[in-house]
Amino acid sequence: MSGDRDSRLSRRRFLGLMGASAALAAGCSKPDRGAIASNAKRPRGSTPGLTDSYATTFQEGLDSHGVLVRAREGRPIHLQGNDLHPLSKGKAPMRAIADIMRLYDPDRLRQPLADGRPASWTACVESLLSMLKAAKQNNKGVLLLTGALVSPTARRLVSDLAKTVPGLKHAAWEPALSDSEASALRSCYGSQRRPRLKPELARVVVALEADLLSPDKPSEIAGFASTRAPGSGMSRLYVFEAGMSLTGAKADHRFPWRPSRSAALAFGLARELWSKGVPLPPGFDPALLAPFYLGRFPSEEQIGADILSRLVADLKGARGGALVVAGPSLPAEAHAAVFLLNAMLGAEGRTVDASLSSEPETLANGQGMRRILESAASGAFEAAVFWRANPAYAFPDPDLWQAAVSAIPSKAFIGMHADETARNCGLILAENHWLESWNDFEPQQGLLSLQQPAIGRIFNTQQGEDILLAVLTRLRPPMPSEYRGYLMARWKSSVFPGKAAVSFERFWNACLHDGVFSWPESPKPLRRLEPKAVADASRKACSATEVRDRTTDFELVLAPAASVHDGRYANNGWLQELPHPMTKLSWGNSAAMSPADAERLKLKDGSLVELSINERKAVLPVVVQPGQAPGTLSSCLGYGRRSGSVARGVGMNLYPLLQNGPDLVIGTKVRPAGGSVDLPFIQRHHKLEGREVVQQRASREFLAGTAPIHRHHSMRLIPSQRFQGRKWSMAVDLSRCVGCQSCVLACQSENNVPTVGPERVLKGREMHWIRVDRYYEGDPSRPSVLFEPMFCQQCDDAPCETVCPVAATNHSPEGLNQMAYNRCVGTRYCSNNCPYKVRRFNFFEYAADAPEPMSLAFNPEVTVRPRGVMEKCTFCVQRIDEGKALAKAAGRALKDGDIEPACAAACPAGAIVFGDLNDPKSRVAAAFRDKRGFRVLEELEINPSVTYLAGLTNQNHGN
Amino acid sequence: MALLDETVWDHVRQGPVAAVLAASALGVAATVLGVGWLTQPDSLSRGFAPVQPIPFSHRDHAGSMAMPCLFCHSGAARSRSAGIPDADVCMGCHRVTKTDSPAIIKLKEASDAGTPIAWKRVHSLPDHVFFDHRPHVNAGVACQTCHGPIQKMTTVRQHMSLRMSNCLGCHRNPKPALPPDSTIAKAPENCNACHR
Repeated sequence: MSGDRDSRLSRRRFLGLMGASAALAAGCSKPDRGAIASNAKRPRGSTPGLTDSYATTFQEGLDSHGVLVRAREGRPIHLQGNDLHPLSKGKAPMRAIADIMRLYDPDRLRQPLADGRPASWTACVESLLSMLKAAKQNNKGVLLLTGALVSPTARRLVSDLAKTVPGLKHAAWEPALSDSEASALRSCYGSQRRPRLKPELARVVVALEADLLSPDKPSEIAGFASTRAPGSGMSRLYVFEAGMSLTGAKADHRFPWRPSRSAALAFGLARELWSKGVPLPPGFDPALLAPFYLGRFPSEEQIGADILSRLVADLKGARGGALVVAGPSLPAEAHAAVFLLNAMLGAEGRTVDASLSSEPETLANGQGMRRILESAASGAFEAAVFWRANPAYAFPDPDLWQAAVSAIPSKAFIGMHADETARNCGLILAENHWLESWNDFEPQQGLLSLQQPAIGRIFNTQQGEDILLAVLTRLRPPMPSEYRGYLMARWKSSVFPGKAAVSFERFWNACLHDGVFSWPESPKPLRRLEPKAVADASRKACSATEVRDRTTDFELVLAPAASVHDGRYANNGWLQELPHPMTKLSWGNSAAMSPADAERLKLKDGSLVELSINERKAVLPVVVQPGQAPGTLSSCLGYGRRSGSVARGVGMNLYPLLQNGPDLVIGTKVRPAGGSVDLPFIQRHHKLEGREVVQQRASREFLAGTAPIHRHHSMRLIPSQRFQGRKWSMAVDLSRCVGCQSCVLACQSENNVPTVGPERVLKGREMHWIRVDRYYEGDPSRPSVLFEPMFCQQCDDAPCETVCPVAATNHSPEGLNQMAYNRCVGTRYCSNNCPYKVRRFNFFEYAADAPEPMSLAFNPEVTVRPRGVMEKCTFCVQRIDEGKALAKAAGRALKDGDIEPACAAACPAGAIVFGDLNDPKSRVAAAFRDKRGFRVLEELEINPSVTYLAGLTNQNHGN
Repeated sequence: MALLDETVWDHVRQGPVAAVLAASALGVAATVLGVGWLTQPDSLSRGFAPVQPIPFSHRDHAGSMAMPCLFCHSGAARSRSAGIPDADVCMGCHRVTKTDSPAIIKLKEASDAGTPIAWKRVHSLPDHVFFDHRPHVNAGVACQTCHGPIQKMTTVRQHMSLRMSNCLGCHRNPKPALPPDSTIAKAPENCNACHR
């Protein structure tokens, strides 16, 4: 290097000269470096260059979650959980993290439109009023169809509106939410209060077709993960399900199970428990259990003869600490059977706790929506307003929808995108994103969670509530002019404690700061399980439809996709590119089929099949899914949108296959449609081939010392690197990790990682800095599943560094394998030499080609990489630097936990620990000393800085 | 050479074409190198002093009145950007001082209307450089070390060339820029210190 510095015309100098002459040739204009616009009045407490955090609330369906928005210079750039929220506890659901991209979606409606032409908001409100007036004159109704309205203030606004507009019919509809649990709750408990599941208190969990560990429920993942430490307190998870879910993948015992038999199984378990001496709740007649006999299952389902009796013994032994869950695709009678089981096992009020749940509104799911559209088709409505609802896409019966929509003379639409439903409407009202809106939510009694804007309105949009309020103000004048005022007025009158020592304004600001306000609420007494309703359910379960011909008739389980959910997020490239957690398929949906069925029908990954049920058909590709129950198919809703530049045409819309809601579709015919497609999988090899790159042990053997972790020891000739000062390291606990991929999205948002699209995923050019590898082991019909989040291992003796011809990647004194993008010339040698395949190459100008305003989502602390450079995980070096600088500016030493990379902050399971390995008291140093620790490909002697703690399972061996 | 006809090649080698070609090659090289030399980043960037929308004088404020730099650029000690003061900070004094000057009238208008003042950027780093004011200011590096005799400048001009060698020169030997009692012997030289 010294020669380089001394020579007169060094390489660097030469390149500088050439660059400068090129710059001159490009234009001899007067240099201008742009402007710095200073604030006229700086917002208090906000400093340019520092991250501001605002507490707000994310709502989806019936659930709401407290989140923290990280904003830079007024732009939200990252989301994480709000740690002051008593239920969210600092963890945000995966789709909330990704939804920041929808705020900056270039396809958003930018202004209100009347008959396709831009209109003023005043004119729009006038049009709405004249619609109401016309309805009154013609003596017809007005339909207000919305998504679930869970905000107590928004619900009050709608009921105020309904009082003022007599013909208003409000219906809330969520296309992908099943009605079965709610209807079972109504009949068995006389209330729809959904219990909160508390897996953290459970020692034995039985999940029937229930994805307890899906990434929309971070608190349940956290609860479950907290019970997976090795030792006697470790929980045991039994899963009976058709398709392989994240819950099934973590199960200690998983049974591929046809969902049509889940109700019979649950009642059978109840009978077996009763016969073993567990009493039925008072008022129950044991005769209702008589038809159910567990003994039929071992032969019919090819499972071990005694495993079910061991399960029953386990449940009995765990009374008070047992938890049985039924999934949304199961019919109401299965839910009733599960209520009975939980009542017998003393789980009510403990692991299933409804004592603080609020009564949700009744959704028009199931037959409700059909009845509304039928009355619309018969001309009952003069006008309709569709708000956050997209029936043109998601209503299962397109003919009925067409008939209904053409029978309504005037239609208005409130939403963020000109979607399928908006195309039917004359008046299109552009709506705010929730990060631009005000609201409140009541996740449980005694707890209110506030939503506040984290950015001014980007476009000429309005919050839906504000539009309704504008109408209401005109009809019934003494109203606050803005929804914020309406919200504050409700809080002042019904939330603000009258005898408080502070003013309302201070109280309100404190609530906005925390994002939540809670007060002690006495738990409501348990409602009694209604014996008659359960008896009815058991009769129904007896006569349940069984598939007659198992060779042609399949049971199809349709669930909202983990990524794009019911389709509302389908225009978000981050979520489209996020692979399905099990099949690892990005950009689209598939029909997961068992290996046995696929072999019988001569199908392989990508073969097209036609699914048909009652004349409704859909063609989609097959994915052979190890562990799928024979005779079943699993697929996801939310794809096949007909609008949106990203969403259009990705995957297949399966809503038309549904009957009444996302329940089970029994009797689906499957026929090979001929031909096949190449599917954009993120992972294409699924076996470990005997190499222990991921390790899992049975807890009992591991603790007894009979199954130690494999570690590679060899003699080194060259001493390995030593780091003075700090040495950044990471530990990943595979016993906690559930494979949900929240880390992937958090990393994408924090590090400006681009999406590449399906064609380039097919070429293996995806850019994610983290991937969650998923491997299957054992018999493909009953595999065990291993997850391993894989990112740059920051090897001490990194093989990528030695092959870089321009030294663009080299080592920092704190143990980071650093990447200088401005040096990188894109030879890709480093990627070839990386044994973990975690380096990503920018083949195109992804960032520069992104349409506005997407660039507002970029994190200004991370370089936006251009074409032709290599990139990879940096351990969030920008957060390391920020942590160090903040500690130094505050005049204190950096302490363990000050620095949290985005993946660790997002991980709902708390599986990722980051810190200084040279500090013996740090959590990461403790993890490195753990006996479960192993390093991936340790035999290469490259000394990765990441230790994985082997996953543990807790099988029941019957003693 | 297979693409060139043998006779054509001979013609080029011998005739006056060769001399013309050689001369123009030399000319191109001289132009490239000459223009490059004259316009290298150093000579372009140092001394850059754009006309500001309001002729704010650092000589009057930081020089004659000896106002501390951090009074206006308060971010320098706690944020990566030093920050430009908002108009309200200026108006703290100028509500009563020099209210009849055209510049202050312009300032007051901006402050009253709430419109930002678009100050011309003087120092600009490439996007892949992440400079942080905090560690430098907190270590006791004087602002003038990089920004030059700012207390003497009526119009701010760029004093130091913002080339990597200038950063590294000081990072390798920070003593001259630090207060005499400073314990810092070296500043980081690894890539991640500035690039990420």
